[in-house]
Amino acid sequence: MALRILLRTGLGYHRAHLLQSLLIVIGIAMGVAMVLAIDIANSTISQSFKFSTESLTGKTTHQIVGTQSGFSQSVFEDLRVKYGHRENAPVIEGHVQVKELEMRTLKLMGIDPFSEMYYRNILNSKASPQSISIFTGLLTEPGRVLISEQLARKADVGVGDHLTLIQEGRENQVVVYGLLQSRDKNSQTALSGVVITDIATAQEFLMMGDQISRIDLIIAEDDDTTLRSIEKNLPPLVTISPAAKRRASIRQMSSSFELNLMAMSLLALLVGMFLIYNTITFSVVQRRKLFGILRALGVTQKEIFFMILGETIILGFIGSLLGLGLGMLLGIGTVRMVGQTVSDLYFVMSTTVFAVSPFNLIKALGLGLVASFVSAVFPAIEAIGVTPVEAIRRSALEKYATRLIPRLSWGGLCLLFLGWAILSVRTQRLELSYTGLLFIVFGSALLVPMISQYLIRLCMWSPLAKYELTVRLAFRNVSRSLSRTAVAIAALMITVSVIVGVGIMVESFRFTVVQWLNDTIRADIYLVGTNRDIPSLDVDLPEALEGIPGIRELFIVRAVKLNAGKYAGAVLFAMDREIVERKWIWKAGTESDVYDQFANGSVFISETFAWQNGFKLDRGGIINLATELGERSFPVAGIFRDFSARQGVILIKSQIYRQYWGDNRISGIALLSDSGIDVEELIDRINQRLAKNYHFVISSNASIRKNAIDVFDRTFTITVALKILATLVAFIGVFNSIMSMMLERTREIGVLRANGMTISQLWRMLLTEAGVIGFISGLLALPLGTVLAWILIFVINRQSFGWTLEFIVGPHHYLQAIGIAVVASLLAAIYPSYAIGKKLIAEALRTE
Amino acid sequence: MAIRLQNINKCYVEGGKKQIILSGLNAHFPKGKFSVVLGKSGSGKSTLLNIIGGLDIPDSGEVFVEDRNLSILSDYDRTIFRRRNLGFIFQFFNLIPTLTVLENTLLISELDGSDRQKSKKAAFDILEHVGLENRLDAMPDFLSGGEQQRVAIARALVNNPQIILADEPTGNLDQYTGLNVLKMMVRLMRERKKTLVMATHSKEALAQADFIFRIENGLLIPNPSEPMPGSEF
Repeated sequence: MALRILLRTGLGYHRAHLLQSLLIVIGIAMGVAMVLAIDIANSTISQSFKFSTESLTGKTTHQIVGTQSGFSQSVFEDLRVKYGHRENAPVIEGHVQVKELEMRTLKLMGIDPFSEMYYRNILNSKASPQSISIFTGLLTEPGRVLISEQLARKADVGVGDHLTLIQEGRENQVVVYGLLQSRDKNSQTALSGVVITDIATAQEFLMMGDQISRIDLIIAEDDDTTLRSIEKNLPPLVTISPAAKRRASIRQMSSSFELNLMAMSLLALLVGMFLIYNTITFSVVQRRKLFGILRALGVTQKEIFFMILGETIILGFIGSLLGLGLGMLLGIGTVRMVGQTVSDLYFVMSTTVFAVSPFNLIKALGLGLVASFVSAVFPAIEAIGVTPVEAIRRSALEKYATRLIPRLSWGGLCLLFLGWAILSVRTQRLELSYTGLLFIVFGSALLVPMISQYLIRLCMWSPLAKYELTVRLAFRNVSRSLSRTAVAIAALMITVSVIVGVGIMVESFRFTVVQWLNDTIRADIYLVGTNRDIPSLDVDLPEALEGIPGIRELFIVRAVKLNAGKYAGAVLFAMDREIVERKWIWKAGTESDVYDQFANGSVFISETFAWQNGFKLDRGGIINLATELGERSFPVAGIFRDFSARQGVILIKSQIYRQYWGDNRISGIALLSDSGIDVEELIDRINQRLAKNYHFVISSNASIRKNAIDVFDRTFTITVALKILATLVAFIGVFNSIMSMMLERTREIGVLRANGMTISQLWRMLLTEAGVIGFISGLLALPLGTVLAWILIFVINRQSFGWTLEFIVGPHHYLQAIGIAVVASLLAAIYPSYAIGKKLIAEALRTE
Repeated sequence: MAIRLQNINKCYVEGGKKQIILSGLNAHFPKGKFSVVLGKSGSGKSTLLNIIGGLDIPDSGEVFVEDRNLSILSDYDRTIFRRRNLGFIFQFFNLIPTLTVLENTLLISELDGSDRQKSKKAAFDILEHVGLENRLDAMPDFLSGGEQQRVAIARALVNNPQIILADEPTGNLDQYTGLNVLKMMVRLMRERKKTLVMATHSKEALAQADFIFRIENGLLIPNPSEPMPGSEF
């Protein structure tokens, strides 16, 4: 009963100070929206991955895989005929573009219909016509496909209609032989990204010859005998592994990306929390007299505590609901932004998936409420700590705040130390690192009152403060109201430091990537295959190119993705000495030594590969690779920086590769042009002469760099959104603080006006106050932002991806920090200054 | 002339209802005299003083202070005029909490950009007159009510304004302190030949006043037992 009345009193206050209360609501709404949007994006990535792999894997327990190009279908035949293992299904997978769906990329899946019934729901789905007809139909005529009803509707086709599938620049006409209807939503969504055909048709369309992508098997959990017997009889470079393990390793690649996204969104929530803390603190301070009176009337400390918590949670609840709606809208944009990046870097994301579950919403709402609760705890504790007598005296509050400064400072130093200690631990646990980062941020916030005090004392020595009353008043007001201004400064400092930190990180990353591109892409022109999955060029192409004038030299590259084994996911590049030069993190000897070693069979590995496989970055090691001639050891002669493959890169000399793998195929050709030759003209010439007979994608050095940078920029678009959000929250936070401070001094300002302060002098004083708050915030954000950047680059980024980046800090970062802080503060002070200046002096004097 | 008000009307809107405070009020407060304005709470005493001081604007009518028609001045001009010609003493002292005693006293001269040396000398002088020469660096929160009001008096007088407006200056003080403060104000006012208009309920103030007025029903009525202002001229 008492709480209800008290809550009504509290909410009445908030109703009377609507703008302030709105700011609490907006602060939490923005934080919750960001968290929800990122959570939706992450859930969508998860679901998309699930649909693209898990649903289509069905009951499969193990998979036989080879290299990126697949392996001979004789392995399948031998399994069945020679070794009597009949529970297996060959699969061919590739990607095609569908003309009728505006060139949308879909998975082309070639299956053996008779084997399929054991594995997937696809052909156990309801189908029209009946399943038996589909089996026979797929097998009897080539070029027949099955698609889902959903896909058929989108392409506006029906049974008997044609679809145009484009692969390696070639068009293949297929007939829709049947429409599939799934029993469950998961399969329905999975099927919406797939075109199913028989193995022979898939082999033909994907130009795989007699190769297959994998064989799915069902092996009982305890059946080690079968597993071992299959393993024993597999040819070199073909391995068997649990299906879940393979999925997990692919999934793990994108999980770091998701975790970093989530961390960014939590930073946004943290900033929102400061906004709430700020506002609630002011509302508590403004009502100290009221609390004193309530206490004098017999309201207990506990009742005051719950009153403040209760009002904040109610406002937080409203804000969280608003945030949910905003988050859903933001989520659409975020999924689009993030989806492009995931497709660029990890796996093709389904565009039909938009995963929002009640769990996402409950989680976001819960976070919003928890954030509101946590933000209100300290102001509530402050409110109950005041005695009725002290409530009246303004100076008593500031005296109390001043006494608290040493304790806060020690607390801040402890948190900083703890944070540093956590970050010093060598771990791959990102959660731990982000905890350390949080400690650093909070520790810095606790040091703000002490540092602000000293900075203002320093400013008071300036001639401007000595001789200009409005400036002196401004400095004094900021200094003597530290219980309020310190909170505003801390909140703004944190927000601006996030902007600085993320800005430095992105710029450092970009600089490093550009540097890497400069070091790696040295040829003038590159040719690669058109097939995303099995890039290969015609073996006659080099000879055909040699006849073209303008080409000085050409180099052949073979790139093979290791699909299984210890280094699954890594890419093996076979190339010649002339184009193997890299930027070294470590090398075994001098420059010429390492290239000699390379020529004699040593390999170079990328930094990511070294990090993921436990190699120390200050020494080499041995890599054991499965070759056609059995397992071979290759000494590591150098570790280089590389951003091309998530799981790492191994460079080996072409001749050595051909010797051990017996593979003469070509993945790419690098061309050096004659000096003075226009590269674009040479590209046109090559296209004119060879495009009719050969399939390739040709790019200039410049366009490859541009595309790489575009992918990079797309990846970090989300950080731009975060920076904008942080700036907005910074502005709202400081607006709130400044407005509260000025409103609280309405009467005092009335007195100044009554004693002859003009409006322009008033503006000067108020804007100077705001400017001081902004300047101190910006100044303090510089070291914190730099430290944040350092942590993001050298700890978190390293743990997530294994990359070493240059640390690029320019004066523009710092100027930007101070600029944002000062401008946000000045802009925030405009309306309050105007509102107070407009007030009649008599009215101002009447204000309690 | 000092202060003349002609046909002043002023109302406030509170809770949707119009409250008429002053209705066709005419007043003349003679120069160099101590005038007291009496009236019930809410009768409009403070409103009258605020209008005289340019802190509030009447709905209609004219306000002449030292021959300047305040009604036609811009806010800026009113502010400058107030700074140089008027001193305010409030019931609740209204010192600036972040300024010391000396700084509060120097407030107006600093706002006006006056000569610092001269202003400081004048401030020391007036603070000595009010007995606070030893509390120059004290903050308002650590002064007693009487001391705060003395600082307010010093602040009001330091720039040598012609007119002092005091709104219940002893209302927040105990009787003894209030009497001392009142005596100090009147003494300083007479020594410096200033015009003092005071809204008050204090009997001691009535006893020392040259003229007594009462606000009733929005009008200023001279106390019948006292001579009409201007009659001596």
